Amino acid sequence: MEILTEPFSYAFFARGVAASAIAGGLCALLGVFIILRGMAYIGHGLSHAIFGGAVVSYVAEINFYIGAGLWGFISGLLIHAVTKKRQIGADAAIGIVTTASFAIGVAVISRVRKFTKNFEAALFGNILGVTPQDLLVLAGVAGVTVVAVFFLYKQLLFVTFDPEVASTYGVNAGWVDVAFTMLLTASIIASMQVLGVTMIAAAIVIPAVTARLLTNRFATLLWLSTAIGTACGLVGMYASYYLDISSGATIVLVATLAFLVALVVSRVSTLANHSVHPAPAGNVGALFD
Amino acid sequence: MPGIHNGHVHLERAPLIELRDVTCGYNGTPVLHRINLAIPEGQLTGIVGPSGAGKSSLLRAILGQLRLHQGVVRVMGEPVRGRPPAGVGYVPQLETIDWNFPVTVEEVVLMGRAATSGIWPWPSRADRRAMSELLDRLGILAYARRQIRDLSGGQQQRVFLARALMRSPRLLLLDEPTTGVDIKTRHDVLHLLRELNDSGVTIMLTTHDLNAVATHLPHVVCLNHTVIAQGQPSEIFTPELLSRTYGAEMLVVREGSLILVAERLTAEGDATDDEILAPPPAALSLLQSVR
Repeated sequence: MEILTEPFSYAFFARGVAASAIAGGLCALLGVFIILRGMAYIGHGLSHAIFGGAVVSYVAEINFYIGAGLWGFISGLLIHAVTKKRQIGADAAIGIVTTASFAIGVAVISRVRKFTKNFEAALFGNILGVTPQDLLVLAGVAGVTVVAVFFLYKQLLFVTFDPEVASTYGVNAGWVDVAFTMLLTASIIASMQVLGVTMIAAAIVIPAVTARLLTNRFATLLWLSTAIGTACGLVGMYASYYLDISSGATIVLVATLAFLVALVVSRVSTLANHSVHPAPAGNVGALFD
Repeated sequence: MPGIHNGHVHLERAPLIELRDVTCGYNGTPVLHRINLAIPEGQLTGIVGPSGAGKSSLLRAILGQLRLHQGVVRVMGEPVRGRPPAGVGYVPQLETIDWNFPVTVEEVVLMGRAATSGIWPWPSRADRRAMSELLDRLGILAYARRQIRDLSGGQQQRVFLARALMRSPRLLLLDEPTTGVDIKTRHDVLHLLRELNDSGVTIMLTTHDLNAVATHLPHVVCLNHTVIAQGQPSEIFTPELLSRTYGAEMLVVREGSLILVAERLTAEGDATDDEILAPPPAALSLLQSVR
Protein backbone atom coordinates (compact mmCIF):
# COMPACT_ATOMS: atom_id res chain seq x y z
CA MET A 1 0.00 0.00 0.00
CA GLU A 2 2.81 2.33 0.88
CA ILE A 3 4.21 1.88 -2.61
CA LEU A 4 1.07 3.52 -3.93
CA THR A 5 0.71 6.31 -1.36
CA GLU A 6 4.34 7.23 -0.67
CA PRO A 7 4.96 9.28 -3.83
CA PHE A 8 1.90 11.39 -3.07
CA SER A 9 3.81 13.19 -0.34
CA TYR A 10 5.28 15.14 -3.23
CA ALA A 11 2.86 17.66 -4.70
CA PHE A 12 4.46 17.36 -8.12
CA PHE A 13 3.71 13.65 -8.13
CA ALA A 14 0.05 14.12 -7.27
CA ARG A 15 -0.26 16.59 -10.13
CA GLY A 16 1.70 14.31 -12.42
CA VAL A 17 -0.54 11.33 -11.68
CA ALA A 18 -3.69 13.34 -12.28
CA ALA A 19 -2.27 14.84 -15.48
CA SER A 20 -1.05 11.54 -16.94
CA ALA A 21 -4.31 9.76 -16.15
CA ILE A 22 -6.36 12.53 -17.78
CA ALA A 23 -4.03 12.90 -20.77
CA GLY A 24 -3.92 9.13 -21.28
CA GLY A 25 -7.70 8.83 -21.24
CA LEU A 26 -8.25 11.90 -23.39
CA CYS A 27 -5.86 10.84 -26.15
CA ALA A 28 -7.29 7.31 -26.07
CA LEU A 29 -10.88 8.54 -26.45
CA LEU A 30 -10.10 10.58 -29.56
CA GLY A 31 -7.82 7.79 -30.75
CA VAL A 32 -10.86 5.58 -31.41
CA PHE A 33 -12.10 7.89 -34.17
CA ILE A 34 -8.59 8.25 -35.55
CA ILE A 35 -7.79 4.55 -35.90
CA LEU A 36 -11.21 3.82 -37.40
CA ARG A 37 -10.65 6.41 -40.11
CA GLY A 38 -7.18 5.06 -40.76
CA MET A 39 -5.65 8.42 -39.85
CA ALA A 40 -3.06 7.36 -37.29
CA TYR A 41 -0.56 9.70 -38.88
CA ILE A 42 -2.62 12.74 -37.91
CA GLY A 43 -1.63 12.42 -34.25
CA HIS A 44 2.01 12.16 -35.18
CA GLY A 45 1.84 14.99 -37.70
CA LEU A 46 -0.22 17.31 -35.56
CA SER A 47 1.96 16.95 -32.47
CA HIS A 48 5.08 17.73 -34.48
CA ALA A 49 3.42 20.67 -36.19
CA ILE A 50 2.28 22.02 -32.83
CA PHE A 51 5.83 21.85 -31.52
CA GLY A 52 6.82 24.49 -34.07
CA GLY A 53 3.90 26.65 -33.01
CA ALA A 54 4.79 26.22 -29.35
CA VAL A 55 8.39 27.32 -29.82
CA VAL A 56 7.49 30.29 -32.00
CA SER A 57 4.84 31.49 -29.58
CA TYR A 58 7.35 31.13 -26.72
CA VAL A 59 9.94 33.25 -28.50
CA ALA A 60 7.37 35.78 -29.67
CA GLU A 61 6.04 35.89 -26.11
CA ILE A 62 2.52 34.95 -27.09
CA ASN A 63 0.58 32.80 -24.66
CA PHE A 64 1.59 29.17 -25.28
CA TYR A 65 -1.96 27.87 -25.46
CA ILE A 66 -3.15 30.54 -27.88
CA GLY A 67 -0.11 30.47 -30.16
CA ALA A 68 0.28 26.71 -30.31
CA GLY A 69 -3.49 26.30 -30.47
CA LEU A 70 -3.96 28.47 -33.55
CA TRP A 71 -0.91 26.94 -35.24
CA GLY A 72 -2.10 23.42 -34.51
CA PHE A 73 -5.70 24.07 -35.54
CA ILE A 74 -4.64 25.45 -38.90
CA SER A 75 -2.26 22.50 -39.41
CA GLY A 76 -5.06 20.10 -38.50
CA LEU A 77 -7.45 21.62 -41.03
CA LEU A 78 -4.71 21.51 -43.66
CA ILE A 79 -4.05 17.83 -42.97
CA HIS A 80 -7.78 17.14 -43.22
CA ALA A 81 -8.11 19.04 -46.49
CA VAL A 82 -5.12 17.28 -48.03
CA THR A 83 -6.44 13.88 -46.91
CA LYS A 84 -9.84 14.53 -48.46
CA LYS A 85 -8.40 15.19 -51.90
CA ARG A 86 -7.06 11.65 -51.90
CA GLN A 87 -4.55 12.52 -54.51
CA ILE A 88 -1.32 10.63 -54.83
CA GLY A 89 1.24 11.99 -52.44
CA ALA A 90 -1.22 13.29 -49.86
CA ASP A 91 0.68 11.58 -47.07
CA ALA A 92 3.92 13.01 -48.39
CA ALA A 93 2.40 16.51 -48.42
CA ILE A 94 1.33 16.06 -44.81
CA GLY A 95 4.81 14.84 -43.92
CA ILE A 96 6.36 17.91 -45.49
CA VAL A 97 4.06 20.42 -43.81
CA THR A 98 4.26 18.92 -40.33
CA THR A 99 7.97 18.15 -40.39
CA ALA A 100 8.74 21.61 -41.73
CA SER A 101 6.74 23.04 -38.85
CA PHE A 102 8.71 20.85 -36.43
CA ALA A 103 11.97 21.97 -38.07
CA ILE A 104 11.01 25.60 -37.56
CA GLY A 105 10.71 24.84 -33.87
CA VAL A 106 14.09 23.10 -33.74
CA ALA A 107 15.72 25.91 -35.73
CA VAL A 108 14.39 28.59 -33.42
CA ILE A 109 15.50 26.65 -30.36
CA SER A 110 19.03 26.18 -31.65
CA ARG A 111 19.29 29.95 -32.14
CA VAL A 112 17.81 30.85 -28.76
CA ARG A 113 19.66 28.47 -26.51
CA LYS A 114 18.22 29.48 -23.21
CA PHE A 115 15.47 26.87 -22.94
CA THR A 116 17.01 23.48 -23.65
CA LYS A 117 15.33 22.18 -20.51
CA ASN A 118 11.80 22.96 -21.79
CA PHE A 119 12.79 21.64 -25.17
CA GLU A 120 13.49 18.22 -23.74
CA ALA A 121 10.27 18.27 -21.75
CA ALA A 122 8.26 19.11 -24.84
CA LEU A 123 9.83 16.28 -26.80
CA PHE A 124 9.71 13.52 -24.25
CA GLY A 125 7.32 14.66 -21.55
CA ASN A 126 8.23 15.75 -18.06
CA ILE A 127 6.05 15.38 -15.00
CA LEU A 128 8.13 17.86 -13.03
CA GLY A 129 6.97 20.51 -15.44
CA VAL A 130 3.26 20.08 -14.79
CA THR A 131 2.05 23.26 -13.10
CA PRO A 132 -1.35 23.66 -11.45
CA GLN A 133 -2.32 25.80 -14.44
CA ASP A 134 -1.35 23.04 -16.90
CA LEU A 135 -3.44 20.58 -14.93
CA LEU A 136 -6.40 22.94 -14.96
CA VAL A 137 -6.19 23.39 -18.74
CA LEU A 138 -5.88 19.64 -19.25
CA ALA A 139 -8.92 18.95 -17.08
CA GLY A 140 -10.86 21.67 -18.90
CA VAL A 141 -10.01 20.27 -22.35
CA ALA A 142 -10.89 16.74 -21.19
CA GLY A 143 -14.23 17.94 -19.82
CA VAL A 144 -15.14 19.77 -23.02
CA THR A 145 -14.08 16.78 -25.13
CA VAL A 146 -16.17 14.32 -23.15
CA VAL A 147 -19.24 16.58 -23.37
CA ALA A 148 -18.69 17.14 -27.10
CA VAL A 149 -18.27 13.44 -27.85
CA PHE A 150 -21.39 12.72 -25.80
CA PHE A 151 -23.59 15.16 -27.68
CA LEU A 152 -22.01 14.58 -31.10
CA TYR A 153 -21.94 10.80 -30.62
CA LYS A 154 -24.35 9.90 -33.44
CA GLN A 155 -22.86 12.37 -35.87
CA LEU A 156 -19.29 11.33 -35.06
CA LEU A 157 -20.16 7.66 -35.46
CA PHE A 158 -21.85 8.21 -38.81
CA VAL A 159 -19.14 10.48 -40.20
CA THR A 160 -16.39 8.11 -39.04
CA PHE A 161 -18.17 5.12 -40.55
CA ASP A 162 -19.28 6.60 -43.84
CA PRO A 163 -18.66 10.32 -44.38
CA GLU A 164 -20.30 10.53 -47.79
CA VAL A 165 -23.57 8.89 -46.87
CA ALA A 166 -23.59 10.83 -43.60
CA SER A 167 -23.66 14.08 -45.51
CA THR A 168 -26.41 12.90 -47.86
CA TYR A 169 -28.41 11.95 -44.75
CA GLY A 170 -28.29 15.46 -43.37
CA VAL A 171 -25.28 15.20 -41.06
CA ASN A 172 -22.98 18.16 -41.56
CA ALA A 173 -19.83 16.12 -42.10
CA GLY A 174 -17.63 19.16 -42.74
CA TRP A 175 -18.63 20.76 -39.48
CA VAL A 176 -18.15 17.53 -37.54
CA ASP A 177 -14.62 17.26 -38.99
CA VAL A 178 -13.80 20.82 -37.96
CA ALA A 179 -15.11 20.23 -34.45
CA PHE A 180 -13.11 17.03 -34.16
CA THR A 181 -9.92 18.71 -35.38
CA MET A 182 -10.40 21.43 -32.75
CA LEU A 183 -10.81 18.86 -29.99
CA LEU A 184 -7.80 16.89 -31.17
CA THR A 185 -5.58 19.97 -31.40
CA ALA A 186 -6.61 21.15 -27.94
CA SER A 187 -6.03 17.68 -26.52
CA ILE A 188 -2.57 17.33 -28.02
CA ILE A 189 -1.53 20.75 -26.75
CA ALA A 190 -2.84 20.07 -23.28
CA SER A 191 -1.17 16.64 -23.16
CA MET A 192 2.18 17.76 -24.51
CA GLN A 193 3.71 18.54 -21.11
CA VAL A 194 2.99 15.09 -19.78
CA LEU A 195 3.47 12.86 -22.78
CA GLY A 196 5.83 14.78 -25.02
CA VAL A 197 5.59 15.46 -28.75
CA THR A 198 7.22 12.21 -29.73
CA MET A 199 5.02 10.00 -27.55
CA ILE A 200 1.58 11.52 -28.14
CA ALA A 201 0.90 9.65 -31.37
CA ALA A 202 1.38 6.36 -29.54
CA ALA A 203 -0.84 7.42 -26.64
CA ILE A 204 -3.58 8.17 -29.20
CA VAL A 205 -3.29 4.98 -31.21
CA ILE A 206 -2.29 2.16 -28.86
CA PRO A 207 -5.19 2.18 -26.34
CA ALA A 208 -7.74 2.43 -29.17
CA VAL A 209 -6.21 -0.46 -31.10
CA THR A 210 -5.98 -2.46 -27.88
CA ALA A 211 -9.66 -1.90 -27.10
CA ARG A 212 -10.55 -2.71 -30.71
CA LEU A 213 -9.11 -6.18 -30.18
CA LEU A 214 -11.53 -6.76 -27.34
CA THR A 215 -14.86 -5.47 -28.69
CA ASN A 216 -16.96 -5.16 -31.84
CA ARG A 217 -19.34 -2.53 -30.41
CA PHE A 218 -18.68 1.11 -31.02
CA ALA A 219 -20.01 2.44 -27.71
CA THR A 220 -18.02 -0.17 -25.77
CA LEU A 221 -14.94 0.67 -27.78
CA LEU A 222 -15.16 4.33 -26.74
CA TRP A 223 -15.24 3.80 -22.99
CA LEU A 224 -12.91 0.80 -23.05
CA SER A 225 -10.25 2.72 -24.96
CA THR A 226 -10.60 5.65 -22.54
CA ALA A 227 -10.29 3.31 -19.57
CA ILE A 228 -7.20 1.63 -21.00
CA GLY A 229 -5.62 5.01 -21.74
CA THR A 230 -6.31 6.24 -18.22
CA ALA A 231 -4.95 3.08 -16.64
CA CYS A 232 -1.81 3.23 -18.76
CA GLY A 233 -1.33 6.84 -17.67
CA LEU A 234 -1.60 5.86 -14.00
CA VAL A 235 0.59 2.76 -14.17
CA GLY A 236 3.10 4.50 -16.43
CA MET A 237 3.37 7.34 -13.95
CA TYR A 238 4.25 5.03 -11.07
CA ALA A 239 6.75 3.20 -13.25
CA SER A 240 8.26 6.52 -14.17
CA TYR A 241 8.65 7.46 -10.48
CA TYR A 242 10.13 4.19 -9.30
CA LEU A 243 12.29 3.39 -12.29
CA ASP A 244 13.31 6.99 -12.83
CA ILE A 245 12.40 6.90 -16.54
CA SER A 246 10.80 9.68 -18.58
CA SER A 247 7.02 9.59 -18.01
CA GLY A 248 6.08 9.75 -21.70
CA ALA A 249 8.19 6.67 -22.38
CA THR A 250 6.83 4.62 -19.47
CA ILE A 251 3.21 5.43 -20.35
CA VAL A 252 3.74 4.32 -23.95
CA LEU A 253 5.61 1.20 -22.88
CA VAL A 254 2.84 0.23 -20.46
CA ALA A 255 0.29 0.77 -23.25
CA THR A 256 2.34 -1.42 -25.56
CA LEU A 257 2.37 -4.13 -22.92
CA ALA A 258 -1.43 -3.84 -22.59
CA PHE A 259 -1.72 -4.16 -26.36
CA LEU A 260 0.33 -7.35 -26.42
CA VAL A 261 -1.78 -8.85 -23.63
CA ALA A 262 -4.98 -7.94 -25.51
CA LEU A 263 -3.55 -9.44 -28.68
CA VAL A 264 -2.95 -12.75 -26.94
CA VAL A 265 -6.36 -12.66 -25.23
CA SER A 266 -8.23 -11.94 -28.48
CA ARG A 267 -6.30 -14.60 -30.38
CA VAL A 268 -7.06 -17.18 -27.72
CA SER A 269 -10.76 -16.27 -27.58
CA THR A 270 -10.99 -16.29 -31.38
CA LEU A 271 -9.56 -19.78 -31.40
CA ALA A 272 -11.90 -20.84 -28.61
CA ASN A 273 -14.88 -19.35 -30.47
CA HIS A 274 -13.85 -21.06 -33.65
CA SER A 275 -14.74 -24.50 -32.34
CA VAL A 276 -18.26 -23.36 -31.37
CA HIS A 277 -18.91 -20.57 -33.87
CA PRO A 278 -18.08 -20.67 -37.56
CA ALA A 279 -17.51 -16.92 -37.83
CA PRO A 280 -14.56 -15.45 -35.92
CA ALA A 281 -15.55 -12.40 -33.90
CA GLY A 282 -12.21 -10.64 -33.95
CA ASN A 283 -10.62 -9.13 -37.00
CA VAL A 284 -7.15 -8.50 -35.76
CA GLY A 285 -5.51 -8.68 -39.13
CA ALA A 286 -7.42 -5.73 -40.51
CA LEU A 287 -5.83 -3.41 -37.98
CA PHE A 288 -2.41 -4.00 -39.40
CA ASP A 289 -3.28 -3.37 -43.03
CA MET B 1 -46.86 -4.59 -61.43
CA PRO B 2 -44.87 -1.44 -60.87
CA GLY B 3 -45.28 -0.42 -64.46
CA ILE B 4 -48.86 0.54 -63.74
CA HIS B 5 -47.64 3.70 -62.07
CA ASN B 6 -46.65 4.99 -65.46
CA GLY B 7 -50.27 5.35 -66.36
CA HIS B 8 -50.97 7.72 -63.48
CA VAL B 9 -48.33 10.27 -64.30
CA HIS B 10 -49.72 13.59 -65.33
CA LEU B 11 -47.60 15.46 -67.76
CA GLU B 12 -48.03 18.82 -66.09
CA ARG B 13 -46.66 17.53 -62.78
CA ALA B 14 -43.01 18.22 -62.13
CA PRO B 15 -40.88 15.06 -62.31
CA LEU B 16 -39.47 13.75 -59.03
CA ILE B 17 -35.95 13.71 -60.45
CA GLU B 18 -34.94 16.10 -63.16
CA LEU B 19 -31.52 16.57 -64.71
CA ARG B 20 -31.18 19.30 -67.24
CA ASP B 21 -28.11 19.47 -69.43
CA VAL B 22 -25.94 18.13 -66.59
CA THR B 23 -22.22 17.77 -67.09
CA CYS B 24 -20.16 16.74 -64.10
CA GLY B 25 -17.16 14.68 -63.04
CA TYR B 26 -14.07 14.51 -60.88
CA ASN B 27 -11.24 17.03 -60.86
CA GLY B 28 -12.47 18.71 -64.00
CA THR B 29 -12.70 15.49 -66.06
CA PRO B 30 -16.34 15.04 -67.01
CA VAL B 31 -17.82 11.59 -66.41
CA LEU B 32 -21.36 12.57 -67.33
CA HIS B 33 -21.92 14.68 -70.39
CA ARG B 34 -25.04 16.75 -71.07
CA ILE B 35 -27.45 14.46 -69.27
CA ASN B 36 -31.16 15.15 -69.65
CA LEU B 37 -33.42 12.98 -67.58
CA ALA B 38 -36.89 13.28 -66.08
CA ILE B 39 -38.13 10.56 -63.74
CA PRO B 40 -41.77 10.81 -62.66
CA GLU B 41 -42.90 9.96 -59.13
CA GLY B 42 -43.63 6.27 -58.62
CA GLN B 43 -41.19 5.04 -61.26
CA LEU B 44 -38.87 2.08 -60.81
CA THR B 45 -35.84 2.82 -62.94
CA GLY B 46 -32.72 0.84 -63.68
CA ILE B 47 -29.53 2.47 -64.89
CA VAL B 48 -27.44 0.16 -67.08
CA GLY B 49 -24.17 0.63 -68.86
CA PRO B 50 -20.60 -0.65 -68.90
CA SER B 51 -18.16 -0.16 -66.03
CA GLY B 52 -16.97 3.41 -65.90
CA ALA B 53 -20.02 4.66 -67.81
CA GLY B 54 -20.97 6.93 -64.92
CA LYS B 55 -23.80 4.92 -63.32
CA SER B 56 -22.67 5.60 -59.76
CA SER B 57 -21.77 9.15 -60.68
CA LEU B 58 -25.32 9.71 -61.87
CA LEU B 59 -26.61 8.70 -58.44
CA ARG B 60 -24.02 10.88 -56.74
CA ALA B 61 -25.06 13.83 -58.91
CA ILE B 62 -28.66 13.34 -57.84
CA LEU B 63 -27.47 13.22 -54.22
CA GLY B 64 -25.58 16.47 -54.63
CA GLN B 65 -22.21 14.82 -53.98
CA LEU B 66 -20.69 15.84 -57.29
CA ARG B 67 -19.94 19.39 -58.30
CA LEU B 68 -21.81 20.16 -61.51
CA HIS B 69 -19.83 21.77 -64.28
CA GLN B 70 -23.00 22.66 -66.05
CA GLY B 71 -26.75 22.21 -65.82
CA VAL B 72 -29.11 21.70 -62.92
CA VAL B 73 -30.34 18.75 -60.87
CA ARG B 74 -33.76 18.97 -59.24
CA VAL B 75 -35.20 16.50 -56.78
CA MET B 76 -38.82 16.96 -55.72
CA GLY B 77 -38.76 20.25 -57.56
CA GLU B 78 -35.88 21.66 -55.51
CA PRO B 79 -32.45 22.30 -57.01
CA VAL B 80 -29.94 20.01 -55.24
CA ARG B 81 -27.03 21.86 -53.67
CA GLY B 82 -24.64 19.81 -51.56
CA ARG B 83 -27.28 17.49 -50.19
CA PRO B 84 -30.63 16.12 -51.34
CA PRO B 85 -33.96 16.89 -49.69
CA ALA B 86 -34.97 14.94 -46.57
CA GLY B 87 -37.13 12.32 -48.29
CA VAL B 88 -34.26 10.65 -50.13
CA GLY B 89 -32.76 7.32 -49.09
CA TYR B 90 -29.48 6.05 -50.44
CA VAL B 91 -28.01 2.55 -50.33
CA PRO B 92 -24.33 2.60 -51.30
CA GLN B 93 -22.52 -0.19 -53.08
CA LEU B 94 -21.69 -2.88 -50.53
CA GLU B 95 -18.05 -2.94 -51.52
CA THR B 96 -17.63 0.67 -50.34
CA ILE B 97 -18.52 -0.32 -46.77
CA ASP B 98 -15.80 -0.81 -44.17
CA TRP B 99 -16.90 -4.23 -42.89
CA ASN B 100 -14.32 -4.30 -40.13
CA PHE B 101 -15.81 -1.22 -38.54
CA PRO B 102 -17.02 -2.05 -35.03
CA VAL B 103 -20.73 -1.37 -35.46
CA THR B 104 -23.69 -3.62 -34.96
CA VAL B 105 -26.69 -3.93 -37.26
CA GLU B 106 -28.84 -1.73 -35.03
CA GLU B 107 -26.16 0.94 -34.76
CA VAL B 108 -25.99 1.15 -38.56
CA VAL B 109 -29.76 1.25 -39.03
CA LEU B 110 -30.15 3.99 -36.42
CA MET B 111 -27.70 6.14 -38.42
CA GLY B 112 -30.64 6.72 -40.76
CA ARG B 113 -32.00 9.10 -38.14
CA ALA B 114 -28.70 10.52 -36.91
CA ALA B 115 -29.48 14.03 -38.09
CA THR B 116 -33.06 14.18 -36.90
CA SER B 117 -33.31 12.31 -33.62
CA GLY B 118 -32.33 14.96 -31.10
CA ILE B 119 -29.21 15.61 -29.06
CA TRP B 120 -28.98 12.53 -26.86
CA PRO B 121 -26.54 9.86 -27.96
CA TRP B 122 -29.04 7.06 -27.41
CA PRO B 123 -32.00 6.47 -29.76
CA SER B 124 -35.46 7.70 -28.87
CA ARG B 125 -38.22 5.21 -28.17
CA ALA B 126 -39.82 6.06 -31.53
CA ASP B 127 -36.52 5.43 -33.33
CA ARG B 128 -36.12 2.08 -31.59
CA ARG B 129 -39.64 1.06 -32.52
CA ALA B 130 -39.19 2.10 -36.15
CA MET B 131 -35.92 0.18 -36.27
CA SER B 132 -37.39 -3.02 -34.81
CA GLU B 133 -40.33 -2.88 -37.19
CA LEU B 134 -38.07 -2.44 -40.20
CA LEU B 135 -35.66 -5.18 -39.17
CA ASP B 136 -38.59 -7.47 -38.57
CA ARG B 137 -40.12 -6.65 -41.94
CA LEU B 138 -36.81 -7.30 -43.67
CA GLY B 139 -36.29 -10.53 -41.76
CA ILE B 140 -33.09 -9.54 -39.97
CA LEU B 141 -34.37 -8.69 -36.49
CA ALA B 142 -32.59 -11.71 -35.05
CA TYR B 143 -29.24 -10.25 -36.10
CA ALA B 144 -29.75 -6.79 -34.60
CA ARG B 145 -26.83 -7.08 -32.22
CA ARG B 146 -24.38 -8.68 -34.59
CA GLN B 147 -21.38 -6.92 -35.99
CA ILE B 148 -22.08 -6.10 -39.65
CA ARG B 149 -19.39 -8.40 -41.02
CA ASP B 150 -20.97 -11.35 -39.29
CA LEU B 151 -23.86 -11.53 -41.82
CA SER B 152 -24.48 -12.97 -45.27
CA GLY B 153 -24.40 -10.74 -48.34
CA GLY B 154 -28.17 -10.58 -48.57
CA GLN B 155 -28.52 -9.69 -44.90
CA GLN B 156 -25.88 -7.00 -45.29
CA GLN B 157 -27.78 -5.53 -48.23
CA ARG B 158 -30.93 -5.44 -46.12
CA VAL B 159 -29.17 -3.68 -43.25
CA PHE B 160 -28.30 -0.77 -45.49
CA LEU B 161 -31.72 -0.81 -47.09
CA ALA B 162 -33.18 -0.60 -43.57
CA ARG B 163 -30.96 2.39 -42.80
CA ALA B 164 -32.33 4.15 -45.90
CA LEU B 165 -35.91 3.22 -45.03
CA MET B 166 -35.49 4.75 -41.55
CA ARG B 167 -35.90 8.04 -43.36
CA SER B 168 -39.31 7.04 -44.76
CA PRO B 169 -38.06 8.01 -48.21
CA ARG B 170 -40.13 9.15 -51.16
CA LEU B 171 -37.15 8.42 -53.36
CA LEU B 172 -34.75 5.53 -52.91
CA LEU B 173 -31.43 5.35 -54.77
CA LEU B 174 -29.49 2.09 -54.76
CA ASP B 175 -26.02 1.55 -56.16
CA GLU B 176 -25.63 -2.01 -57.51
CA PRO B 177 -28.00 -3.62 -54.97
CA THR B 178 -27.74 -7.04 -56.64
CA THR B 179 -24.00 -7.21 -57.09
CA GLY B 180 -22.13 -9.78 -55.05
CA VAL B 181 -25.20 -11.58 -53.77
CA ASP B 182 -26.50 -15.01 -54.67
CA ILE B 183 -29.50 -15.71 -56.91
CA LYS B 184 -31.99 -16.11 -54.11
CA THR B 185 -30.90 -12.87 -52.47
CA ARG B 186 -31.09 -11.05 -55.77
CA HIS B 187 -34.62 -12.32 -56.18
CA ASP B 188 -35.52 -11.28 -52.62
CA VAL B 189 -34.02 -7.82 -53.03
CA LEU B 190 -35.87 -7.20 -56.30
CA HIS B 191 -39.09 -8.48 -54.78
CA LEU B 192 -38.65 -6.16 -51.82
CA LEU B 193 -37.97 -3.19 -54.08
CA ARG B 194 -41.12 -3.95 -56.09
CA GLU B 195 -43.14 -4.01 -52.89
CA LEU B 196 -41.71 -0.67 -51.85
CA ASN B 197 -42.37 0.71 -55.30
CA ASP B 198 -45.97 -0.52 -55.15
CA SER B 199 -46.38 1.34 -51.87
CA GLY B 200 -45.45 4.53 -53.72
CA VAL B 201 -41.67 4.86 -53.29
CA THR B 202 -39.86 6.04 -56.40
CA ILE B 203 -36.80 3.86 -56.95
CA MET B 204 -33.68 4.22 -59.03
CA LEU B 205 -30.99 1.57 -59.06
CA THR B 206 -27.84 0.91 -61.01
CA THR B 207 -27.06 -2.58 -62.27
CA HIS B 208 -24.69 -4.29 -64.65
CA ASP B 209 -26.90 -7.36 -64.78
CA LEU B 210 -29.03 -7.01 -67.89
CA ASN B 211 -30.65 -10.43 -67.93
CA ALA B 212 -31.46 -11.07 -64.30
CA VAL B 213 -32.28 -7.52 -63.28
CA ALA B 214 -32.68 -4.91 -66.00
CA THR B 215 -35.04 -6.87 -68.28
CA HIS B 216 -37.44 -7.25 -65.35
CA LEU B 217 -37.67 -3.53 -64.61
CA PRO B 218 -40.43 -1.33 -66.01
CA HIS B 219 -38.08 1.48 -67.00
CA VAL B 220 -34.42 1.43 -67.98
CA VAL B 221 -31.89 4.11 -68.83
CA CYS B 222 -28.92 3.08 -70.98
CA LEU B 223 -25.95 5.16 -69.97
CA ASN B 224 -22.50 5.58 -71.39
CA HIS B 225 -21.33 9.00 -70.21
CA THR B 226 -24.55 10.30 -71.69
CA VAL B 227 -28.05 8.90 -72.02
CA ILE B 228 -28.09 6.54 -75.02
CA ALA B 229 -31.71 5.45 -74.65
CA GLN B 230 -34.47 5.15 -72.09
CA GLY B 231 -37.80 3.37 -71.92
CA GLN B 232 -39.20 -0.10 -71.37
CA PRO B 233 -36.65 -2.89 -71.83
CA SER B 234 -38.85 -4.43 -74.54
CA GLU B 235 -38.52 -1.19 -76.51
CA ILE B 236 -34.95 -0.20 -76.00
CA PHE B 237 -33.12 -3.51 -75.61
CA THR B 238 -32.28 -3.75 -79.29
CA PRO B 239 -28.94 -4.94 -80.65
CA GLU B 240 -28.32 -1.48 -82.06
CA LEU B 241 -28.94 0.51 -78.86
CA LEU B 242 -27.20 -1.97 -76.57
CA SER B 243 -24.17 -2.17 -78.86
CA ARG B 244 -23.95 1.61 -78.72
CA THR B 245 -24.26 1.53 -74.93
CA TYR B 246 -21.63 -1.13 -74.37
CA GLY B 247 -19.36 -0.45 -77.28
CA ALA B 248 -19.45 -4.14 -78.17
CA GLU B 249 -21.64 -6.14 -80.47
CA MET B 250 -24.68 -7.40 -78.58
CA LEU B 251 -27.21 -10.11 -79.30
CA VAL B 252 -30.82 -9.82 -78.22
CA VAL B 253 -33.05 -12.88 -78.23
CA ARG B 254 -36.78 -12.51 -77.71
CA GLU B 255 -39.01 -15.39 -76.78
CA GLY B 256 -42.49 -14.12 -76.02
CA SER B 257 -42.09 -11.63 -73.22
CA LEU B 258 -38.66 -13.02 -72.36
CA ILE B 259 -35.65 -10.98 -73.43
CA LEU B 260 -32.17 -12.37 -73.31
CA VAL B 261 -29.10 -10.30 -74.01
CA ALA B 262 -25.63 -11.59 -74.69
CA GLU B 263 -22.39 -10.33 -76.05
CA ARG B 264 -21.55 -11.73 -79.46
CA LEU B 265 -18.21 -13.45 -79.13
CA THR B 266 -16.08 -12.62 -82.10
CA ALA B 267 -13.57 -15.02 -83.57
CA GLU B 268 -10.68 -12.86 -82.39
CA GLY B 269 -12.08 -13.07 -78.89
CA ASP B 270 -12.30 -9.32 -78.40
CA ALA B 271 -11.31 -8.37 -74.90
CA THR B 272 -14.47 -6.56 -73.97
CA ASP B 273 -15.80 -5.90 -70.53
CA ASP B 274 -16.82 -9.31 -69.29
CA GLU B 275 -18.44 -7.77 -66.25
CA ILE B 276 -21.24 -6.46 -68.49
CA LEU B 277 -23.09 -9.67 -68.65
CA ALA B 278 -22.06 -13.10 -67.82
CA PRO B 279 -25.23 -14.99 -68.74
CA PRO B 280 -25.81 -17.91 -66.41
CA PRO B 281 -25.17 -21.33 -67.99
CA ALA B 282 -28.91 -21.93 -68.23
CA ALA B 283 -29.33 -18.75 -70.23
CA LEU B 284 -26.51 -19.73 -72.55
CA SER B 285 -28.01 -23.09 -73.32
CA LEU B 286 -31.38 -21.43 -73.84
CA LEU B 287 -29.71 -19.04 -76.24
CA GLN B 288 -28.22 -21.93 -78.16
CA SER B 289 -31.51 -23.80 -78.34
CA VAL B 290 -33.32 -20.70 -79.56
CA ARG B 291 -30.79 -20.18 -82.27
